[in-house]
Amino acid sequence: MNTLSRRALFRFLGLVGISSLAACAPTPGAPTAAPATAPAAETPKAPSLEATLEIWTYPRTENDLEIVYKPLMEKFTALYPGIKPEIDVQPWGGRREKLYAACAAGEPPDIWYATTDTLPTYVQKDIILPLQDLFTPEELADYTESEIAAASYNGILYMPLQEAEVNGFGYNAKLLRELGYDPQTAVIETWDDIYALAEKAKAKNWYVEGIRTVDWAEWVVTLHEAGGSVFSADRTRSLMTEQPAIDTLTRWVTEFKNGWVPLEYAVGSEQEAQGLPSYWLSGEQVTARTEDAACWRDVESAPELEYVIGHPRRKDTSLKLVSGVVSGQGWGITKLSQNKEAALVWVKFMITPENIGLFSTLAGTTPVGTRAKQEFWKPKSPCVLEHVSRFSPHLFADQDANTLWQESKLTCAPHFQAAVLGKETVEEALEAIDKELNKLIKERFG
Amino acid sequence: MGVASQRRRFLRKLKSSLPWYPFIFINIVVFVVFNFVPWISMLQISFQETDLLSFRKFVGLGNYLALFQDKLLGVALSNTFLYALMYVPPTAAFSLFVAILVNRKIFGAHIFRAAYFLPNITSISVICLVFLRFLSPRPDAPANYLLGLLGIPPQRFLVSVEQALPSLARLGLWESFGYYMLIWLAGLQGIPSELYDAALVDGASGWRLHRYVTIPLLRPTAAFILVVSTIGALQVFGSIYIMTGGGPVYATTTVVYYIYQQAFILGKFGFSSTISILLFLIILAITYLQGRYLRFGEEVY
Repeated sequence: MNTLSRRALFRFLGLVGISSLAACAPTPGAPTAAPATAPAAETPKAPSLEATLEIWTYPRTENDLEIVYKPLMEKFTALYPGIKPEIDVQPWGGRREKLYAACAAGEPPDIWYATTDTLPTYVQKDIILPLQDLFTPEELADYTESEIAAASYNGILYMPLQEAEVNGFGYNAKLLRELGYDPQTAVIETWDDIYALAEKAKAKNWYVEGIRTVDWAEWVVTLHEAGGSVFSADRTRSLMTEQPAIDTLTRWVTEFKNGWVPLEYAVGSEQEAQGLPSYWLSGEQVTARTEDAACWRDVESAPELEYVIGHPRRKDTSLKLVSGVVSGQGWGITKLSQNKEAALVWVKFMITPENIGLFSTLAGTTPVGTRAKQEFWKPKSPCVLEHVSRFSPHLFADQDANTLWQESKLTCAPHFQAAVLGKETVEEALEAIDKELNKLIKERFG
Repeated sequence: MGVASQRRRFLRKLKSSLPWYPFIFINIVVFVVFNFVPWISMLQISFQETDLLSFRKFVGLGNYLALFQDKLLGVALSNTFLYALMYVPPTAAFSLFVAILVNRKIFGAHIFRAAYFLPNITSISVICLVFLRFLSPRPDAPANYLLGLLGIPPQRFLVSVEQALPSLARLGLWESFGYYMLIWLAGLQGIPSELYDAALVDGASGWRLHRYVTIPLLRPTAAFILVVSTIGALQVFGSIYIMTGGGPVYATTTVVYYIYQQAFILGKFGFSSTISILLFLIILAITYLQGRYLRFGEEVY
């Protein structure tokens, strides 16, 4: 009977092993991804273009396809009948991972709804097409300077913005009244104001606010309220052992220790935050960090909630008022897209002031651009305008907004948890964070 | 035996097996495409520093050496083994106990079987979201309220460094015991009734019947359940991803969750592939030992 001899088997296995190891070695000069070909700089003859665009976006309403995109795409298809946009509304959770995996597999969408805080990573991973010379000044004229800056990295425009969140604070007027405050005149601005309110709320078994240790934006904003920042302006070192960081973490520890904030928010998954109970909507939390549309959206979800727009905060009156970090969404074109010209046509269509205004009107978000806001945006409620005008002047955008965002929250959250659960002192936690962040900076920026 | 007759026998065997080869071929294709190729690709990536997108750098055994220097990986491994210890024996024992109960000829046994199996066919996301509320540390949360009725003070469950992993292991038990109960049940119903009759004639009854007939004859089923539940425990991910995010303070960071973090949040696909290979080797070793000592696959009667 013919059998495979042991020697032949070893020879075969040896060959397999050698070929696998050879496959591991990089091919000199071989590019890791197909080089992106930028579309022609001149305006493409769009009506004659024929393409099917795969567009990944993330929900703003209960049915974005019908409510937001149907009217817009009807307009688009009338103008460009050859381009067929296929909108895929995906969940917000895990969106980055899915995009990276699709790009790695060589099957990315043509366009996706990119977020400003992840722009450096998109650039670093080489998945986003630079759009610097592909727009005329007129096409970008409605954006403010800071909106262009937020959509750019190292001076290059990547993701023209469609909307920007204006985060601020909301108060539960009913609870405020029961705690002896007049909701129309009450101003909860300094940390002492918060502590005083927290003690009163605790007596009634309510929470003053909600602090999530895995929410990096929450930390960055609170740290700015204390006059600090996570990274030095030149992004060369962490500032997490300096006094503002100590004050900020001490505040968190104080609030958790005293039961002023929900204990379960100390732990949790960043990706699945919506799984936690909302004491704000259930009427057991006096103030909350809220986005612009919350003044009507939260009330729609919880009709009992008596929503009053809050105020920007600061540690004490010697410091600047802070409401939130500039955060926006815009359209990124993937470098691997096979339909770059058509994708550019679609993006240009979406970012006209008229369509930015219409998009935000339909989606219940806040538009970017001056004319878009003034002429084409009809917010669902006038309270959104009030929110935007109260908090917009106190938004900040500095190195913290786009430096090691994902990595920082992964590094810091366990130490924040250790501090608020009494496993580490504030100083120990911040020392450990500082060491890890500096290591990350060295790894990433040299 | 002549060469000609050997060849005839071989051709006869081949001819009789031929109709089955297409079925085997389909499985081989599925295995190669969805298991073997990704596995080889993972092995290849484990020798690289890469985010799979913008750069690939051959680092030889660099990622393997880094395994020994990574303190968090040590924590993740320890948490994974602890989870397996807290999950596998209780799950096997409890599901056997329930299987014995529902194997009796009692009214409504089918309803109980279906009810116990229900958590297993419910999405893990739904279960986790329900349990996030059930296990809230508030004194008036459902779990703490029930404990309060027994005079036990409120527990922190998922928010406590000490309790988070045991809480997840108990959740895992609740979610999966119905599945193992069904396997035990199949094992129980496969025991010939003559053996019980013989034992009864010999004077055995009650617990002694189970001790000397049921349990020894369930060894193959036990081996299967222990191997499968151990593999499941070592790969736990969903409940951690949804409920604790690996916290508090790394208390629920298991190896698979750590692999996910390294790959999809930090973009270190090379290092995460190396950890995946380490996990594969650990599972292989444990399964081999279990198979060897539990004599997996052997007939008992």
